[in-house]
Amino acid sequence: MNLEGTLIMIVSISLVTGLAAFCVLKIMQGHGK
Amino acid sequence: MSKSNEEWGSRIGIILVVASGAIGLGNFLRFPGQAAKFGGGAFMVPYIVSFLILGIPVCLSEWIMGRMGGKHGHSAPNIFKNYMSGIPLQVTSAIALIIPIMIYTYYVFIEAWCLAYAVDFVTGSINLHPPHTLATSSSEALIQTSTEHFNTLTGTKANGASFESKIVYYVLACYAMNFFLVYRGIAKGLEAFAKMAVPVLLISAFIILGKVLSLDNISVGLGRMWNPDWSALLRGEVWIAAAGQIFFSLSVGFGIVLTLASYLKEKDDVQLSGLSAASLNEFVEVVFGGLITIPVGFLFLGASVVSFGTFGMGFVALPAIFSQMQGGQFFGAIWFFILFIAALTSSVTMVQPGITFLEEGFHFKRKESIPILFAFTLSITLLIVYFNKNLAALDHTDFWIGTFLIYVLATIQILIYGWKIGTKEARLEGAKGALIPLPPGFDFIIKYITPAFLLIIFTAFVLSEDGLMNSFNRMSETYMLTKVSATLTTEDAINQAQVARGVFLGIISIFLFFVFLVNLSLKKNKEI
Repeated sequence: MNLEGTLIMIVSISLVTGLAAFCVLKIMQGHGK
Repeated sequence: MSKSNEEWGSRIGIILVVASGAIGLGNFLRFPGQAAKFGGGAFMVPYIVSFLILGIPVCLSEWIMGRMGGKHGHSAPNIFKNYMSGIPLQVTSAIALIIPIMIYTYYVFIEAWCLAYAVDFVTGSINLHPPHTLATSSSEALIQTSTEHFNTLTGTKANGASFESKIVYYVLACYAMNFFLVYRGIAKGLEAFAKMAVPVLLISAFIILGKVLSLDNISVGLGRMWNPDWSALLRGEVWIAAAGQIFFSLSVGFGIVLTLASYLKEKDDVQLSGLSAASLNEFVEVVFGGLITIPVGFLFLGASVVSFGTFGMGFVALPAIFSQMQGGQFFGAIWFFILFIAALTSSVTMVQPGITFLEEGFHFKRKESIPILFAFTLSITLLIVYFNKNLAALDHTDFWIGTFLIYVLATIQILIYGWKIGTKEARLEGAKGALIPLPPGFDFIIKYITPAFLLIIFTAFVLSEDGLMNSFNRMSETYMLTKVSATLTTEDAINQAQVARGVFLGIISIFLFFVFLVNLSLKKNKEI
């Protein structure tokens, strides 16, 4: 895998993981509401 | 129409049900195939753009409209009657009902393949090692044996062949599981199952991912999936493929989320829930779909792995790979168990809208609605299973329902949201109980950009080689006879045209039948 491919893979996985983590965090914050 | 008293047990419950409903074979098999074919890592650019301007808006609109419509009931007619009346109401409701019901009828067949492969791997009864008499290279011979296994199991060699295979029993087993879960109800059936199935699916997928990433030279396979071909971004078909993938992956336009979200109360959040379900689906797709299928396929089968379609990748290439892999029996069993759970969590949500319609529209009790829908869907499934030569009936049904009609329903929904309800009103509605606000610019995107994008995709789909016109052409024996080749005999060509016509006429008949049923249910409840 070349450098570009590695970067795209890391960025893509980070984006979807970050979005999922954001949602989990918000759900936990809103749990008591 | 009388309104059901069912409700969700928890916020996380509906998120997991909707997310697991969206997570299916498309995440593990279709996404990597499309990415590898259309630019590798570069595919992620149109994919992310499509997620932002098509996926999220359509997704959130379904959640908001579902909860909004749920004040009056949970079936498609009860939800849509808030926004329309007369013939448009009957037609739209019929579309929203037949999409999940008809997709269920063939999806459960594919679910049965997954279960059959999982059981075969567990029991070790699958033997894909090619006979020594084959005068081809080991890789080709392995694929040949794997293809033979798939064709025999699913009965694609001749119409009716599937009835001589054990697959029929697996179909019946899947039917029993799906209807048992729906019989238990929203909270005790769908929700309880999703809460168990999603963690199991994620843990199993991590086990497979760990195995794949530990293989020698896996970076070569990862390179085939992720190394970008930037020139692909200049090709229109790549953008259409990315939008199509987002569309199918998130299961938008299926008429399912509308029903599921309608069981929410007014104070329940829909915006964070919708985004959470979509993001869980994307996580599974990009992480597991992006790191497992193509990398391992390329490592074992070389460049030819990209040429396999979704089914070829899942049921021919991957079983062949597992049979070569150390510990392949164990990992093969886990892999097909993942696919089976992903399929089951999707199919079970497809049954719910039909059951809700029977109960609200005709006042059937659960004990009555279950056998009615069971018998109706099973009779269609058995026709699809019977006319399975070259997967013809399944393929045509999937095109008209799983491709064409979901575009139509998604477009209707987005137009209702942006133009009938109005973005201001819908924003106020969505804000009730919301744990996150809608982002700035959302109203403009959903009112103008998303419909325009949908229109472009639809036009391209109509004009494309495999698109709408081609599907009409395939009903003609004269046209199909021009396709006769070494791989398609004259008899096959005629059979395919006949099946294509049969499927089309069958779907038209079922659609008209549902228009009639919707009309009847509305009259019965004096609300037309």
